[in-house]
Amino acid sequence: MGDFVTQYRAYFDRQASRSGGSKTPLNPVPGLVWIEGAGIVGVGPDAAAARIAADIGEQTLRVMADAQSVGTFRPISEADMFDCEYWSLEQAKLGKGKPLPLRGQVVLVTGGAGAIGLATAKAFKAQGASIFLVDRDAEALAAALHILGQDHHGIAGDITVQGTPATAIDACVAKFGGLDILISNAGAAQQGDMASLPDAVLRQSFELNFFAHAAFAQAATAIFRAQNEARGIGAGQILWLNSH
Amino acid sequence: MFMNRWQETEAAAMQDAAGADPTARELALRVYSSRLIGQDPDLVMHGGGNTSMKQALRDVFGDDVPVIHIKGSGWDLGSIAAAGLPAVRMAPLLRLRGLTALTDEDMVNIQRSALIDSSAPNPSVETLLHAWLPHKYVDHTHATPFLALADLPDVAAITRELFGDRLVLVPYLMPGFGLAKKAAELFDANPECEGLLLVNHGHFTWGPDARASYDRLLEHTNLIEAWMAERRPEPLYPVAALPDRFVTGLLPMLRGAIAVHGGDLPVFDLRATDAARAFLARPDVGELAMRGVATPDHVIRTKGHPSGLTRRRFPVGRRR
Repeated sequence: MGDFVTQYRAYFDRQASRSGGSKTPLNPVPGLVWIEGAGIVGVGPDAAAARIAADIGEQTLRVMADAQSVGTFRPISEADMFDCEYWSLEQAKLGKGKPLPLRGQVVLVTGGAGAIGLATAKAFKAQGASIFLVDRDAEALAAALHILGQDHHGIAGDITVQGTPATAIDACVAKFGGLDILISNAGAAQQGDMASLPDAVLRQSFELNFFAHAAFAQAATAIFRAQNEARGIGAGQILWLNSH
Repeated sequence: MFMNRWQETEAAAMQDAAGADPTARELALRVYSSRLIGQDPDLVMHGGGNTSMKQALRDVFGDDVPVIHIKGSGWDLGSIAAAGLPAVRMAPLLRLRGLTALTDEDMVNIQRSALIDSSAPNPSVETLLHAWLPHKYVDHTHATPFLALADLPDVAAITRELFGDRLVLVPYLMPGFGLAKKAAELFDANPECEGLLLVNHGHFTWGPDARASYDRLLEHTNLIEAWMAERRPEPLYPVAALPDRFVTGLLPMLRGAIAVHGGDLPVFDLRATDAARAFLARPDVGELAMRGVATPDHVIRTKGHPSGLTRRRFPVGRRR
């Protein structure tokens, strides 16, 4: 990543002095990453920007492949590119205004299709976060995702089954690239006569109300650590919700 | 090949929903074909491309005022509505052609002040190019086949081979007043042409009605697509994909590495397709990565080139 940033800064300095006038450098990070053996990654300050970059990135591969098969792909020069990149009317297309406080934050909500889970997801979405829902009920999950709208995602699965929490976290990472806030919400209260409550019900209650939370927390912590490794700071939050 | 998705019943339903006013019914057709165009990502993508239509609107004085409805800033063609195609008075736009130069600020200001509805969004930065073409409907796209052709060094010879005099080449200029002037001059010198190929940028075509312009847009695009398809090599065998666990281990590290330089943690959208992996296995991939953007306005979304992560440079030793 350092190479890209160094090259971008050099490009800016080179072109800004050519074009004259005072230009303020944009954030020197890539909008696309090509990962050999994996695919291409759209990168953006939020999920919509990442999706748009990825769509353009995929189209560009088709353009390049076709151009190369009949000749040479030779687009506009670096100078012309710079003039567009730093043209005020192009930048205006990206819109202005203060970003929402949780823009760029990836939030995973377990039990996300239920009443409390979905209300929590909506509240985070309203602050600009990208939401990933996990719920046992596939139909309710689809309905909840429809309510959240484009650029929010989820996966159906029974989180009391061993391996499901890790799979769900991986699915979130595959979709958004990481995770910042885990809302460990899924849970249920088992009620009954303690004297005769079957062992299986008690164990299942612990699977849902304890072990699933622990498994999500462990998998989320591994993601937080990977994200923080390069930055040398600690970040990432876990919220345990308990409605008993 | 690009399918012609025009349906008379859908077009008629759009018109009926617009009511009885003939100008609103005409605009409904402009909305309809704009959506057809915008919903195909290989024709236009995310605010790239724009459409227009010229007619006369009756103002509060009862005068019929010639206007151009042009895509407004912030609207996406795929989901556009009538409000996204604001009407701009033609008279001041036509008069601008007499100037030798015009600053961006003045261009934006004059376009805004010529709006019929003062609260409408800013007209597209390509408004003047649309206005100075005399045809009623004008469609501008960044179709994938057109970009592949427009970014070839020998674009002129191939365009002539495919289209004869039907398409006129416009050399690369940044969008705005200068490009509009150049395109209008070339059009005036070739008034019988059916479209413009903007080198390194995209395509313009037009017609007397919405359908004619849309049909022509597809005909032009498909002609290039067929020519490209004949020359396209057989698809490569699928390239071995990295294990999913490895990729999901890599992405959070990459996210953190970007945040070191960019401040906030970014959001990703991974496209782990066979096509992408096959492309990334090309021997010339490193060189292609540095070539640049297929059409200028992509640069604001993707930067000028991607960052590349090759197997050689994957972080090692830290696996979940």
